[in-house]
Amino acid sequence: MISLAAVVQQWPALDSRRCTACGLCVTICPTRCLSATPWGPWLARPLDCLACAACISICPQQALYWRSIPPESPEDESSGRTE
Amino acid sequence: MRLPQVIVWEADGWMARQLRELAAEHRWLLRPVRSAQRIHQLLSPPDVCAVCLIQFEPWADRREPLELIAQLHRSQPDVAVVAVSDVKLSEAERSAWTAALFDLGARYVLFPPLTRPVLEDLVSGLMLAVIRRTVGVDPALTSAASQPAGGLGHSSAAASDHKDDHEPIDLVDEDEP
Repeated sequence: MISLAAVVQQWPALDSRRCTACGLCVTICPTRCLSATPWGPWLARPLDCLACAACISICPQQALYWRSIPPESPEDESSGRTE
Repeated sequence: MRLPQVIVWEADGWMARQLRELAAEHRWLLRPVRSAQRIHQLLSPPDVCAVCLIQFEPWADRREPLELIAQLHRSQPDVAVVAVSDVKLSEAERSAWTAALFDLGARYVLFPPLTRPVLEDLVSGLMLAVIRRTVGVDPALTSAASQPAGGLGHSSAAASDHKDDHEPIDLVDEDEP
């Protein structure tokens, strides 16, 4: 399965101050990449995330949001190391 | 949100290639990076859950990997840092470098021969320990419960499939290629 989240470099992030650990996001996730803990969800299987935004849409507390990670730029290669 | 990441900073991409299957099997993110700044960027949120492999070159005039290990130990103590060298050294030199890197904050120090089983066992063991510590859940039960296909809930059969994940890492018994 292709991880669309990895392709677009976007992952659901959690505002733990808002989260009530209701578990709706874990239930709604179509790939079950989220897992529940007593303090809220965590992205246990990030490669399965489809970036479908179901978890973000269903959260009654708006505790979930997108977090983007910009791609590594050539300027970052200060050390001369390559992939 | 916490998500398991394996971050690899190396010169040639060899370690990332060895760990690709392991990361895919566990559905972890494998992130080969090219700079210390990128590692700081990936580990910037407070809720990080990562194992970081950093290649260093003993006796080379490059302090950046060593400084990064020390910085990560101070700023992200939950991140398991593994220092890896592909330079063959004498036993005395290996001991000295291992002690120095432990002092800086490395969780493990690896020298040649570097083999895929060693890397896989080490990274999987460290990652499961990091997940237990930072997330507070048993990774075996979590992965069993969150399989995309199959039944809901905690299957004892599925959980027993991950029994090996709890086995202690014994690098001495690894076969050399």
